[in-house]
Amino acid sequence: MRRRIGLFIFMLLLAGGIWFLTRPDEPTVDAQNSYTLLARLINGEARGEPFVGQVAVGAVILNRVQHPRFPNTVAGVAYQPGAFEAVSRGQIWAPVRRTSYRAAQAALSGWDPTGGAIYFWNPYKPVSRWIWTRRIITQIGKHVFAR
Amino acid sequence: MRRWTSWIFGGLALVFAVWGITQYMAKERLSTLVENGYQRAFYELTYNIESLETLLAQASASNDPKQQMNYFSDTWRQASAAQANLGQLPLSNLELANTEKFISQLEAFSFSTFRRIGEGQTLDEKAWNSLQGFFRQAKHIRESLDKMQPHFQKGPDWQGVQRATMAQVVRAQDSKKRPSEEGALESNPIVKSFMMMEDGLKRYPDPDFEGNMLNFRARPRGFTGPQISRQQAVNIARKFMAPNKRNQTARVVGTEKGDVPAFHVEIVPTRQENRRGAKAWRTMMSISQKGGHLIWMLTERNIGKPTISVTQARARGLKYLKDLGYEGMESLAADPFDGVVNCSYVRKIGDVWIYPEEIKLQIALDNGEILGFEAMNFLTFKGAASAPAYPLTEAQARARVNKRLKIERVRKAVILDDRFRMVATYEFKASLNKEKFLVYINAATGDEVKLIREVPGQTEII
Repeated sequence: MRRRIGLFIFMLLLAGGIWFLTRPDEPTVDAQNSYTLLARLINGEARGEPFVGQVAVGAVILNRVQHPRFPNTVAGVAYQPGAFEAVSRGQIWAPVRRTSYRAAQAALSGWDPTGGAIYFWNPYKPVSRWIWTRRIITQIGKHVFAR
Repeated sequence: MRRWTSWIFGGLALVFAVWGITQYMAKERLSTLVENGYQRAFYELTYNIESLETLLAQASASNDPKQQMNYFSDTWRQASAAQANLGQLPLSNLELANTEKFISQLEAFSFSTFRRIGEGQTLDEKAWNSLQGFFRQAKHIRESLDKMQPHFQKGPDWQGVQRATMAQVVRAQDSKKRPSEEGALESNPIVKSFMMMEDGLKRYPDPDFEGNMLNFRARPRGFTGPQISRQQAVNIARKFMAPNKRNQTARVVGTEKGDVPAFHVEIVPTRQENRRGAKAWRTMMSISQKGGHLIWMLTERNIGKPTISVTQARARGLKYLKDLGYEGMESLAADPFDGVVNCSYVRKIGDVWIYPEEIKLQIALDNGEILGFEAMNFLTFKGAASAPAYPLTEAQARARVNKRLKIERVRKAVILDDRFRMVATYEFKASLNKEKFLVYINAATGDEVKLIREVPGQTEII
């Protein structure tokens, strides 16, 4: 009986520990929907990129929202079928790190390190052929940015 | 014994069979669900395009401005629905630039024509010709979509469409090779139909119309001065980093080839051991190749507990700008967030605030360091409003504000209209019950040109 209680407490501690280690960073501002979604998308697409690269991914998404040929909302752009690997594979639901929120905030405040890009891709990964016909503006971290 | 084992194997086989069938059925259900979603978007797109074709025909035939306004507002609505529905189809790996351009241009055209008729103008020859152009394009798209219907006889296969377009995916090193994958694209009848539709649109000339702002970009005015070298870019970067007083190394790590060619300068701690770990930091700057103007700066580092207030940070930012030669700036707004504050500063000429000439700074609240800098708007609109005119008095402008609003503060402000032109206005900060608003009254015509609702928790103009 005692052993069982011990096991129970151990499991409880284990579960608590797992929760503690995997809990997402909470944002410290009022969460607007588009802001949270933007942070999730940056988190899923630009994990491990330098901060500037994360802001750049956020800026591309916002440039698309403004661009006449793309949907007019962050959700519309994010959920275009096949547009973002992080959405197709569900990585946008991974716990969001603090820097992704910061990057989303910077992008929404007007920082655009891409010079107005509407495409980005990792040149070392397979991508659609026609995307190479776009005009490349710059490279930041592992991503190239293009118009 | 053997009988016993055969019973076990038989049982296991049955269990696996049942499990397999359940899995298969679940997969089929999900697959149907996905196909239904895509097919719905396709049918709605077809409906939108059919409606557009009819509405454009009606607008060309009608002679009554009120009726025409109805047709154009409906066109606007259907065009934006068409864009949303097209965006939901799994075609993002397919080049559909002409189709997308048709929809967005039609949206802009119907909106501006609607407004012009509302202002009492009639449909002139030029607008009528563009209307005909749009009608022909809508007809072409509708006919192309109609031709796709037989391919759905045995049920839609949008997932097949997605696979076909993804087959085009190549690695960078192979991108120069001519495609054998074109075949994969052509073999899918739906993809082929969309490509033919897109191709067919090339035959139609671009309708030319008033209010076509789609390709419009404000010409940057502020990038004056001689071409700079990489070494000069590094020196300029150091100048902007100087107030932060650190041991740092700067070098050019890349370039930007957009509308404004620029150098990317990276600044990191001189000591290798400070480039990793909790105290590590890294700053990136973009400096224009013409004139050496700082366009943006972003710093990556851990932020500690706040030790200075937002007010102190704002003052620090203003001093930073002044020391670097940005004269006549005034603190406009502050937006604290997770240990940093985004402060915006705009130029002030006399008592007039020039909102488009805005610089944003990101300031750390733990030690007051300037982490970020953003001056694209400032450099684009620099000097565009040198002597704004104010023919109307404040009292005359005040009379144009909704009487139900309680006015709390008035200021002269130059803002941008939807065509990126400078407009001199009176800005009224006002409230209606608990809602806060910023109302902008044109200082020449008295028109209400803009009205912003301030949302609590978001950037507030001070």
